[in-house]
Amino acid sequence: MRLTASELGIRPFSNDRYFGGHGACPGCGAVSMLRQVMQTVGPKAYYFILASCAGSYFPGEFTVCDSSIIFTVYAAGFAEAEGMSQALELRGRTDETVVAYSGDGGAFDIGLGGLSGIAERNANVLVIVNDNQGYQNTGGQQSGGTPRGIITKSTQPFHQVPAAARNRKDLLELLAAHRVPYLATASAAFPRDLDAKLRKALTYKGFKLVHVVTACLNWGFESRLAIRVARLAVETGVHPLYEIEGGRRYRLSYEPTFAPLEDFTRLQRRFQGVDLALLKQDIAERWEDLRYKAARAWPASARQSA
Amino acid sequence: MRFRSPFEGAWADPDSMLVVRTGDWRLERPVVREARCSHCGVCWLWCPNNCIRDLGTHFSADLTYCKGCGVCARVCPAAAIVMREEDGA
Ligand SMILES: Cc1ncc(C[n+]2csc(CCOP(=O)(O)OP(=O)(O)O)c2C)c(N)n1
Ligand code: SF4
Ligand code: SF4
Ligand code: SF4
Repeated sequence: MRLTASELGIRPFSNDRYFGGHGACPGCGAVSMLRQVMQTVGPKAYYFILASCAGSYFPGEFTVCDSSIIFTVYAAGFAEAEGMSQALELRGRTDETVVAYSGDGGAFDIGLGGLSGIAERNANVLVIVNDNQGYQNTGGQQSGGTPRGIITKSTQPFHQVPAAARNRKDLLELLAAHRVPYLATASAAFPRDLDAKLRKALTYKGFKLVHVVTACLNWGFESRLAIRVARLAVETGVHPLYEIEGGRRYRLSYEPTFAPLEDFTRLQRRFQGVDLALLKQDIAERWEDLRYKAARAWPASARQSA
Repeated sequence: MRFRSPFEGAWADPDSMLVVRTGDWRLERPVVREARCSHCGVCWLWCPNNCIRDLGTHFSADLTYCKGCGVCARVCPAAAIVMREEDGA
C-alpha cells in the first residue's frame, strides 16, 4: 500500500470528526469506515443509527463524535430519517445532511421494508450500509448478506447444508429496481474511492446508498488484519466496487487483480472446511452480470436524463 | 475528547460527557520508531479508534484510547510501528 497523505487528501490530520473512547472491538473494520464517512460528510449531519454494533460506537451516555446521533429501531429507522429530511427541507435548512446507518441485518432483512419505502418515495437521505455479512452485534448469526455456505453461529457446517440452499441477497439490485438516483459499493480499504462516491452521492437530492463491506472480528481473523481482509475482499472479486446511477447506468469503479479466493478465505475461521466451489461460481456470475450491464450502450437521451 | 457542537444536539451540556478509557483493554502497545516514520498519515487514516496523533514530524498513538489492535502497525508502509507487549508502564 503505497499511498502518500496528499494522494489520500487527508490533511490536516487534526480535522477530526470521530474519536476514541467507544466500545467497538479492537480492530473493528466498520469503525475505520465510519470515521472516513464522517470525515467526508462533515459535521452538519444527523445520523440515524439502526440497532447494530454501531450502538457501541456511540455508547449511551456520551458521544465520541461532533455530529448528532439518533439511535433507533429497525422498523422505524429509515422512515425517521426521511421525516428528518422533510423537516429540514420545510425549514429551508438545505446544508445539513441526513444519514441513515444500518448493518446488513437492518438493511437486507429486518428494515428492508422501510428501506424500500424511502427508496420508493425518493427521500433525501444518504444510507450507509455497513455490511459485515451477518448479525454481528448479537454474536454472528446468519443474515441475508451472509455469503453462501460459510460458518456462522446459526448455520450448520457447509457439508450438511443442501448445496443450493441459499444465496446472498443482492441489495443493490433490489434497490436499482426502485430506480433511485444513486447507488454504490465501496470499501474502507479504498479511501479515495469511498470519499469520491460519498461526494458524488451528496450531489444528488434524493435517495442515495453506499454499501460498504467491512471486516468484522467475528469472521475469525487477527485484529491487525482488518484492513488487509477488507482489501482482499475487493481484490479477490468478492466485493466488486461499482456504482449505479438512476437505477440503470452501471459503472465499474475498480478493476481488481482477481487474487485467488483462498488468499481471502484462509485468513478467516468462518471459511474453515468450506467448499469454495459454489462461492467462486457466485462471484464469477456476479462479475459476468456486472460487466454485461456496465458495457450496455445508452442512447443519448438516457445519458442526459440519468 | 470533548465537544461543543455548534448545532442542535441531544445534550445541553456536551462538555461534561464521559468517555471510556479503552486503553485499559490493551494487550500490546504500538511503538513508533520515529526515525523510520515518513509522516504519511496512513496509520492515522485507518486506526479504528482515532488514537493516532500528529506530532509534527511523526505520528504517535494516544495510549488513553488505543486498544492495541495492531491495525496501524500492519498498514504502515514504512514498517515504522512495532507492537510491544503491554507491561502497564
Ligand atoms: C426487531 C429487532 N429484532 C432483534 C433485535 C436485536 N438485535 C440488536 S442488534 C442485532 C444485530 C444487528 O445486526 P446488523 O444489522 O447486521 O448490524 P451489525 O451488528 O452486524 O453491524 C439484533 C438482532 C432488535 N434490536 N430489534
Ligand atoms: S462485532 Fe464486528 S462489527 Fe461489531 S464492533 Fe466487533 S468487529 Fe466491529
Ligand atoms: S503509517 Fe508509518 S510511516 Fe506513515 S505516519 Fe504512520 S508510522 Fe509514520
Ligand atoms: S494499535 Fe489499533 S487502536 Fe492502537 S493506535 Fe494502532 S490502530 Fe489505533
